[in-house]
Amino acid sequence: MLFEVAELSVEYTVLDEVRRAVNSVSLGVASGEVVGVVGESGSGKSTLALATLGLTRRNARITAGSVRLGDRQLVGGQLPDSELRQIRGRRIGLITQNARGSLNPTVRVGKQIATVFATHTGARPRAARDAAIDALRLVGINDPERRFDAYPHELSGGMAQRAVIAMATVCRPDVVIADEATSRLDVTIQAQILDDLQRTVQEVGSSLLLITQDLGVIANYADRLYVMNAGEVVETAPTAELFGSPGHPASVSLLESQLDPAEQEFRLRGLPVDTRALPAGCWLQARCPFVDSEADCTTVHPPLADVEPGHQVRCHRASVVASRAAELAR
Amino acid sequence: MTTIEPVQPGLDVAEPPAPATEVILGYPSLWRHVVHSFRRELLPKVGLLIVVAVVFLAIFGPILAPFNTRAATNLVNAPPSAAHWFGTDGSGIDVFSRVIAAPRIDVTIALLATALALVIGSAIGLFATFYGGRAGSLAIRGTDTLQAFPALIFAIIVVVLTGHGIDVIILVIAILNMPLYARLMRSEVVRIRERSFIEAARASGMTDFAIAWRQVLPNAIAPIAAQMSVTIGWSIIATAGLSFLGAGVLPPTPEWGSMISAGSSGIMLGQWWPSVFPGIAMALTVFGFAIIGDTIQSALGREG
Repeated sequence: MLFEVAELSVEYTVLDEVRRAVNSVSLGVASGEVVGVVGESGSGKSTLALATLGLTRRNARITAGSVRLGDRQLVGGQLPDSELRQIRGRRIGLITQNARGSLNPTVRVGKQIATVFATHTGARPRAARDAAIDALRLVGINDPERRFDAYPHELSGGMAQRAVIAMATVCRPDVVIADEATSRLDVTIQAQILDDLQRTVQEVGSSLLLITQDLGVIANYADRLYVMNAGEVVETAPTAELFGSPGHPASVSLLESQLDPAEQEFRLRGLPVDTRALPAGCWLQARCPFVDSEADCTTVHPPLADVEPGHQVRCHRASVVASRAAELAR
Repeated sequence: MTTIEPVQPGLDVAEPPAPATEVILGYPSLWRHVVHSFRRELLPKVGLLIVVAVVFLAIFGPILAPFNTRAATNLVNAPPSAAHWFGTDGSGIDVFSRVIAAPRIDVTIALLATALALVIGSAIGLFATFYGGRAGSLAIRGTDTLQAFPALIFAIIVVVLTGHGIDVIILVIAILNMPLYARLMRSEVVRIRERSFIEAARASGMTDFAIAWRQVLPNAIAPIAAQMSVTIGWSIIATAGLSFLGAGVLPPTPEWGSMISAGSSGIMLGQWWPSVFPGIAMALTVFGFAIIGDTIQSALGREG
């Protein structure tokens, strides 16, 4: 694997109470691969995205695990800050949730992209400008020479999102991490942006880690999926297999979320589990329609177990879930 | 129940509109709001006129003065007349000449002191807050301590002890104003550093210094610009106040505060002109700077 996250954990401390946002998450992205991370909001996806770059919000910290890109250990190693910074933006590009918010309102967008390029390559202003214009053109912005001089507030949501993609890809990174890159846009623009993102990533030869709460969005793009819940990976499988035979209630719930509410039989109800006081057994037990006290649901925390080669599920009742899902699909 | 299938977003939607229409009209920047206010409203124009006039006098006042600003004519305590528009003072010096020469001292001190306070205070506020740590809090607490000093008494003591130098007056006024800028910048940094573009900048590999300088600072200058002209006005009053008390610029250097002070004894005798004219000049000047600060402040509010 080109990019590998191993047993990464992140904790937030709020008013002296510890909340575990990311719990021993492991995932890998091969060269040129598009990998999806899906989960309901609050499942730790954004925290995970930041943490893979060795970054956390002010009140959070990475408590365990490692992140490796090629031969470089970003997290859990001894990499000095200066070298870590050279990887951020240059070898890993992060596209954050809020596109317009990710742009400095006081600086022209082109200049911001050029600055990232110049920071990493030491390019002169002229060359950095050219690189930024190329990056803008690549993401599908018409007339990039003119857009270079626009301020963020002069761009529409879709344009701002493209500019952010250009900023993340201007250094032709090995991996692009897109955290809810399209969730704030309307459906038409979403599809365009994702197409532009996919094309750009192919063009520059990057792998792509797509993080979203919308399975429908990701289905056409990702080769492999990881489903997250309560800060854990609960299921991982190739995209087609996950859609065909989901083995975890959280996956079924995400799949069902695209259906008419009347047809949703196995949606997870209620709020995500309180990570300050995790229950013994499965963390989803209070919300799970498949919960069974005969199984170990309320006593043993389920491990991530193989059901097929390349398909792992963290559920005591994976076989029941899979057969019910298959029944329903028929 | 239907088959669970990946939806394909946007497949049945018409072709997107031409990208040119995607550009929306931006809301005007702070600068354009300020320019607009100066164009459309009367009061900001008056303020601007006063400030331009005063700065002009700070440069050319002593040259334009019709009489020597330090040497007596043969008329003592003469009331305003065609020859001496503002009369002459108790030493027989032309008041008008001194009033228009005084900005060289008062306004120069105010501008330099404000600039110094702004640069040092903002730098402390920016870096101490952004980097944090023990040194950072120490710097912020240090400026807080300065703020606890009784300003005028502190200034009087320092200026008198060091011999009434203009450089010392500038420094003292700058030090007194510096905490304000440190605090103002600190509150801006605390607000700005939580915004997503700071996170995005970190994720793109920028150094902390580059983030502070290129991301935080440009977003923090507007309220500081509004504060600036208030400080200039305050500094003019402080300079004149010190001089009025005899703890600032000493006569015969033309300076409004010392002129008001020297002429004050004559007011009882009906000789109002040596004090009142410099008083009006000073009030107008402070008024002018205050209007400009107010205009920027309200433009800032409108920009939201």
